[in-house]
Parts: sequence; structure tokens; C-alpha cells
Amino acid sequence: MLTDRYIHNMNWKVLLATVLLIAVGLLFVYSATCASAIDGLGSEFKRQLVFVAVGLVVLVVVALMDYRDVGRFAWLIYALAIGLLLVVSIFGGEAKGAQRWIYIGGFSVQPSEIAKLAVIIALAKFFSERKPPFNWKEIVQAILIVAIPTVLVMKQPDIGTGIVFVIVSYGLFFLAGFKIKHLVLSVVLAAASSPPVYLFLLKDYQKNRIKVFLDPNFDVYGAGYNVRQSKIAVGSGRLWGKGLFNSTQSQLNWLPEHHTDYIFAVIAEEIGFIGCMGVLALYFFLIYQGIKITLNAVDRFGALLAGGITLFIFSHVIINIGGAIGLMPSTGLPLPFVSYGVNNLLVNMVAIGLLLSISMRQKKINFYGIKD
Amino acid sequence: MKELIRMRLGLIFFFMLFLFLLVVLRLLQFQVVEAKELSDRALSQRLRIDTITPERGDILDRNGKILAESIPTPAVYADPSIIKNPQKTAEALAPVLDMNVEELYSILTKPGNFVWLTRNLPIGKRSEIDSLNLRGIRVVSLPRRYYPEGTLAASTIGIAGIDNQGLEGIEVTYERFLSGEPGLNTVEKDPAGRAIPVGFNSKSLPQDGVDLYLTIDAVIQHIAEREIEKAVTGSNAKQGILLAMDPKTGEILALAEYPTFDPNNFASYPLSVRKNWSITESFEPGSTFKVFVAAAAIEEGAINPSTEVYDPPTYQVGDRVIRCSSIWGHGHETFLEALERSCNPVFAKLAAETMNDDTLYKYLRGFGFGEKTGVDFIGEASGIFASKKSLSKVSWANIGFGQGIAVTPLQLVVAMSAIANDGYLLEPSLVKSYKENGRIVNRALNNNGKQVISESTANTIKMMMRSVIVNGSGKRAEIAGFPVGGKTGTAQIPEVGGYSEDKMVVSFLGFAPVDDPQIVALVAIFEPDTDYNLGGVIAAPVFKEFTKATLQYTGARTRVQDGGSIAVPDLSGKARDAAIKELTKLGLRVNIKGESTKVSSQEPLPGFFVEPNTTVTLFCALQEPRETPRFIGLSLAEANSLALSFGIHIRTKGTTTNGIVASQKPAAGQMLGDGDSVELTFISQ
Repeated sequence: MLTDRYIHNMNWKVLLATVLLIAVGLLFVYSATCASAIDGLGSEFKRQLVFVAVGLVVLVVVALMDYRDVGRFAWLIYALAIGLLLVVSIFGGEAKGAQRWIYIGGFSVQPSEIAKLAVIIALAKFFSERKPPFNWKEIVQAILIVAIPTVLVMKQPDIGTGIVFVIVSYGLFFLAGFKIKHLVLSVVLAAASSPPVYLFLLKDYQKNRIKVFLDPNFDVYGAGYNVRQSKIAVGSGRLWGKGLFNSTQSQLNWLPEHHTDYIFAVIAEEIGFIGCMGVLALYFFLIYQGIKITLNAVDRFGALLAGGITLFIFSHVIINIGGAIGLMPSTGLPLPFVSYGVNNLLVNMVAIGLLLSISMRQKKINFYGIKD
Repeated sequence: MKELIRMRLGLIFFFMLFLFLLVVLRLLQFQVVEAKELSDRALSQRLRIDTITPERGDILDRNGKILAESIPTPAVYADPSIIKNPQKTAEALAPVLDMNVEELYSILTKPGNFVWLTRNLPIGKRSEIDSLNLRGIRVVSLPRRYYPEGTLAASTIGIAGIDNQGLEGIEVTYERFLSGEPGLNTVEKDPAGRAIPVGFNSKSLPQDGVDLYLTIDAVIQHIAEREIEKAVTGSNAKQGILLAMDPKTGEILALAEYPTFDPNNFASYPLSVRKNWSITESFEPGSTFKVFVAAAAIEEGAINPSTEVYDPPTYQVGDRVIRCSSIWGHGHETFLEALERSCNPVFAKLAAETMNDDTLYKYLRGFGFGEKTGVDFIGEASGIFASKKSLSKVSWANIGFGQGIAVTPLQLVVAMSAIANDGYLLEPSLVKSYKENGRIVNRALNNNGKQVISESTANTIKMMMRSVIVNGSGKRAEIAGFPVGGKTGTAQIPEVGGYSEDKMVVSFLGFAPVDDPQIVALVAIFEPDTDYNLGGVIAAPVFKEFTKATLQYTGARTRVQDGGSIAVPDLSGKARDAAIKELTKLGLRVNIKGESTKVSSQEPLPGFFVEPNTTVTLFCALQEPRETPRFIGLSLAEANSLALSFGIHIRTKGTTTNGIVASQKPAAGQMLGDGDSVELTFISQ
């Protein structure tokens, strides 16, 4: 049902930024997994390629849908995501000490990725039906919407996703009109509770990541190895980079997880500071568009949904890159559109699709003079 | 409502912008500011530089006997990164390596992919480890320093450590030659340490070390060690040194010290035992030093052997009272007698009064006292010989008989060698030659020799020292067949505030044979504990036994002796007048036969010892070229008389005692020129 109206209202800027980022991602997943492989294309790259195609279709389909219809099914989506998280915590497969996956057919589904979007939709829905000032009951309800999936993912444990939940929900609470003093109070409470959390809830490897962050020379052959190698990779890219597929750190396997967690280090080593600026500019541009869409959304649900998605993308970008360059502890979050990982890729595509959907229906005089 | 979102969104946006900016700044830091350092780190962690150890050079004696070599020894290392079950591995390996299991386990669980377990596995155990077939445990051969002769010349050879690096002695002095140049193998590696096949790879081959030939002769060294050990243990002494040199070349033939150590097991000996005392430590020499004072005085014409001197019971200079060993003193005597009797007052007075300070200082410096001899050995001491400005009359008086000056044993031997070598001072050496690319190359020595005293003074001193043996304190050093010259020394060991009453160093410094010195040796015994702690009693016999055995080993010609004190010099080929002068100077009479101005032969032969005023006949026959007589089949005595009657000079080879001439050169009947000699080879009958 592609009509002229949709085509004219299509936010080409968002689409272009997304496609460019996906292209960068394919290039570096290829570099990180195949360039030095002897037997041609690695299975990871092929898989990523297939899901990019699938994702683009999904993106367009979602963009053409009315996001308000999604709003109607908000609670169903939310319940489904919670259900999946429960399933994974009972039956899930383990990867690197954490239960994150459900295997369906040949695919592994990562419910925490779906939950990220579900929580955003649910919160947007919740706040679109309520106006500030919020009473205590509403505040508790809102917190519960986030807290349930957060606890479930933290239990896996998937601290990174938990942090995303917290950042996105804080942002949404803020946008929805929570009193600033409440937000500040909660930050203070969170800070106060961090020592016991560190001491009693974090596993050793998580504590080590924090130690590594605070002291870059901590255990450079063990816990600190990845961060150190990532730093070396980034630095040795220098201004112009070593050239595509020429990263010694990644190609010679000095840098671990180079197609997922540390893909930014590969980018930095191969295309240098200048290239990094380009990639950062793309993300910044995308996020800037997200902010604009949030501002111009026709309804409160649309605005909150767009804001949530923008925060969602932003938090992944900053946490992933921040981890690779030692600005924050490494958490294992993917770099949106770029890191290898089909779950994250598809969820990001859906998110961009929703953003486009909101953008196309925003309040503006279009070419046909129809007020939407 | 809309305004609230707009405002708060704006805040969020600025927060995001801020974080992006942080990322950019961080990237600037890593990729621009610290880029060089981080790039270097990326490269350096990728390069694995393996050194290929060169083979360390051997150390051999002058005749090629191996004294130090590197032999392959099994060594065991582990690669902990591929050991699957460290506990089991430790349990299997512990008994073979003679280590305890826990200790081994902790080594095997260390991070990394290389750790030594032992560098010195008994060779028999190699197959045991091989048969265990443990993953991650390897046995390799490493060169290890081995000293096949054990304690022989240990303090000279020194030691090399576990990585074949020289630590002491010749091993460290010649480290640059012995160690060779290691080869380098630089490869690019992945994090597991595996070489990357297509990566950077450069290889340079090692250059093996050079083999060194010492000047030391293992046989002479062995004789020296045997004699000094016997002397030290026999006299309950603390320590002893026997140092011998070839005076014509400066080559050290033996350097024996007792107690000694086994360099194969050096760690169990104290540093004081490992130290080379002959070169790196000094002592107050005592009376042996009088020889050098005498040499200076005679050279300067201040005195001669027959000069009459007076030896008082005590001689006072400043606040110092110097006594003669005889409580009455020896009264009026000749200077020669003063040396024979070792009269301290005579030499104290000679140094303090008779001699000009500057002149004496110049000669003693000339003999090398107070500075390093330049021997090729790290850590040489220069002794203590104060600058002349700070030397008072008392100091000079003391130096006159060898007190208040500290010298190394090597300095004494070098100075003595200068006298034995016609006054020319040579630089001593420990390494004679080295093997380079299969060729033996002599070490270049700066040995033109500086003449300290004239040849004639040197001969006079030699004669005086011969007299010390015949008439004086050195009688026990005399060797039948090899006339000895020498001087004894008995010195108190200086202590804080004066000299020890009972701690002595007794010594003997001498050379043999007197007419043609082939060996100079010093025997010094520190702190002997016997009834007669005297150099003439304890040290002289050691010199005798050592020198006798050594000269027999080198096959030196034995001299016939008449028991006289003057060695007849070799005058053949010299101008007649010069020969007459030389004999007169020695106190001998001359009888000339023939009209030539050149001496063709003499009677008695060179090296014979005669009383003063004995007549020496010089044959100065006018010689036309003539036929060589036939010597073959004659005994030595018959050959000598035949040669005399023909006025021919002969040289002998082989066993002359009870021997007959087996061959001659030139052959009988060939023409013989004026001054030519005939070489006779003797065989025993």
C-alpha cells in the first residue's frame, strides 16, 4: 500500500543514516570475521547479510504500519516479552556464564533484546494515558513496568541490558513529567545502594570489569586483557587508520570479541580517528533526527515512543563505544546496526521502523496540503 | 504540556551531546596524543625475539689442554598454557626432577607459555622424562660451562654463570671474545605465541665464541699447585701463592693459590677463596724488595757489590729504629754480603741517605711498582706506593727493606723478570693466543720492553742473587744442575697501629738457571705457624721443588757446577775486548788464546759456576772457513773437548747425560764459517 503520501513523508534522513550504518556494520563484520579467514566468507557474515535483508523488509513494513496500532497492543507485547524472559530464565541456553538465549528451530532468540523495545512501548503507552503530576500509585506502577524485566535480565545476568532499561526509563520518566526532585532522590538512593550491590550481587567477573575500568593496568593478562587490547587497537589506528582489513589487533586475534563487543576498536584501528568521526557523526545525526521526531510527534504516545527509541539507540552507542575506549566498564552491549548479532539487528530495525512511522505521521503541512 | 517535553528533551539532547563530546575527546587522546605509544605497543607485543645462543669459546692451556668448555646439558621447561592436568603432571615429574609436588604445581600453573623447571638435569634422567611423555613438558640441550680439570688454575680461569656469561677471572676479562654474538630470530606471533607464517621474520645466525689459549702450562700449573698445597698445609699457613713467569716473554706459566676452589661448584666457596690474590691483592714484600733497591743503586753507580758498608745493630732514622736480624749487626761487610745476610740497616740507609729520593722513586716506578702491570685480567690491583712528595725519610728507610710499600705478587715477579731479562720490563700476559676461523692467532702484545736498568747491572744483580743462594739465606733453594738466583723475604704483616708480632709472610723470589733464566718465580706463604717462620726455611724449598720439576719438564739443559758463586757468561761470538771487560767486572781473570778479535769459544763453558778470580780462557782463534769435524758417536765430554780444540761453538739437543751424539748439523765435512755453531742431537745409550 505504498502511496505517494507515504513516500513523500518518508524521513529519508533517518533511512539513509540507518542504511549507511548497516553498511559500515557489514564491512566491519566482514573484516572482523572473514578478511583473514582462509575458507572464504565466514558463516557469521552470511548470516548477518541475510538478516540485514530481512531487517530492511521488517523496517519498511513497520514504518508503513500506524504506530498507534502498536500502542493498542502495548500490554500484549509487554506481557509476551516478560513471558519470554521467564522462559529464558527457566530453560534458556547459556553463553559465557549467562542465560540469555532460547533456541527455536535453527535460531536463537534473545528475549532481552525484545524486552527493551517492549518496555519502551509499554511505558509510552502508560504515560500517554496519564498526565503529570503523577500520584504515588502511578509512580509505583511505572517503576514496576521497568523493574520486572530489569530484575529478570539482571538475573541472567545481563547487566548491560539492565542498564539500558534504567537509562531509557529514567529518560522517559523525565520526558513524561516526573518531578525532578523524585528523579534526583532516586539517583541518590541508587548511589547509596551501589556498595552493597557491588559486594553481594555482582559476580566476580563483573567486579573485575569495574576494577579494570578504574585501573587500566589491573590484570592485563586476565580480566584487563580485552580492555587493554582494545585500547591498543584504537590507538594504533592513529589519525587515518591502517586501512580496511589491515587491523593487526583484530586480524591476528589479539583483540577478542572483535565482531561484537569490540567492533568499534576494529573500526578505530582500520579507519582511524577520521573514520571514527564519520561513524560517530552518523550516529549523532540519527539521534538528532530521533530528537526532532520526538518533538514533532502528533501525540503524546508518539512523542514518548520516539523519545524512548532515541534513548535506546543512544544508550547502546555510548555504552558500547565507551566500553571499547575505556570510558566506562565493558558490559557486552552491541553497537547498533554494526555489531554482529541478528536479534539486536532486528530489534533495531523495528525501532527505526517505528521511528519512521511516527515521523511520517507528524504534524506538518505536506505537499498535498493535508493536515495530518 | 508540549512545552515540558520540549524543554526536557532539550536537556536530554545536551546530555547526549556532552557524552558524544567525551567520546571524541577520548578518541583524540588515544588516536592522536598517545597514538605513537599505543602503536608501538601493538607492534612490540606481536614480535617475539628469540635469541640463538652462540657456543661459548673454550679456554685451553698453552699446549691445547682444555680447561673450560661448554658441554650440552639437558634442561627441562614447561609450557603451562597447554598443560591440561597440572596436578598429575606435577606428581609424575616431581620424583624425576627431585622437586616437591606443590612447588612444581605452582610453577606449572603460572600464566604464560614458558618456564624453566631445571637448567641442569643429570644426563641419565633425560630418557626418564622423555618416556613420561607429558604434554607441555620439553627437554632441550643447553650448553653448560664445565671445567674438566676442576681446581686447576681456578682463580685464573674464573667462572661463567648459568647463562654462560663470564662472572670472574679470564671468563669475564675475555667475555666479549668467549661469548660470541647471539643470533636473533624475530618473528611475528599471535597471542598464543605461534609464529604467523606470512608475518615478519628475520634471522641472524649466532657467531660462536673464540677459543683462548692461556700462557699457563697445565703441567707446570699442576706442579705449582701440588707444591704450594704441600707447603701451606705443612706449615699450618693461612694461604700460599706460587707465581711463575717466563722472563723472556712475560708469559705467566703458573699461577697457583691455595686454598683453591672447584669452579664446577663455585657457589659453595666464599668469594675470598675464588679471588685471584696474585693479581688483585697486594702485600708488604719485605726483604725480597731489597733486590730492586740494590738494582737502582748499582745502576746509578751509588754502590757496587764490593763496596764496603757498615751494618750497625740498630739504625735510627727519625723516630724509627731499624734492626738487623743479627742483634750485634754484621759490622763492616761488603754490599754483596749485606744482601746475602739481608741486613735491614744497610738497605734502610741506602734508600734514606745514600740514594737521591727522586732517583730511587724513578727506578722503583720503572720496575712497575705502584701501577698496574697491564696483565689481561679484570680487577688488577696497583699496590700501594705513595707519591714521592708524601714520602718522608722514615718511609724511604722502610721501603729500603720492603716495608711501607705494598705490591702485588705479580708486580714482584714482573720486576724480577725485568732483571732476569737483561733489564727489559715486559707486560705480563695470561692469554697467549686465540683461535679465529680455525687459525691460531697470537695475541698482540705491546712488548718492546722498556729498559729499567742496563744489562750489566742486571747481570750484577743476578750474580749477587746467585751469591744469596750460595752463601746467604737462600741455600735451601739451590737445585743441582740448575743454578738458582734468588732472595728470601720474611715480613711482618701490618696491622692497625703497627706490625703483627706473630703473623708473617715468608717468601722467596728467584730465577733459574742463573746464566740463562728460563723461569722466574715467587713463593709467598701467608701466616705460617712453625718453629722457623722464615722465607729461607719455608719458601725457598718450595721454589726449589717447583723449579726443579718444571725445568726437568721443559727439558732445560742441566749445568755442571763447581760450587762457585759466579756464573760464567756466554761470551762466544762477542768481541774480545767486550768479553774481557765483562769477565773483569764479574771478578774473573782472563786468559786469551789466539789472535782473533772475536771470541769463538770459552773454558769453562757458559753456566758453570766458579769462585771469584777463577781464570776463564777465551779462544780467539783466527778462523778460516773449514770443514766441520765429525761428532757422531761421541759423549758430551768428548764432543766438548773436540769442539774446544777446533774452536767451534756447539749447541746440544736431547739427552746429554750418558748420551752420545746421534746427528749433527751441519754434517761432517761441510764448510763452517767464523762464529757458526754446530748443533748436536744426543740420544741416550
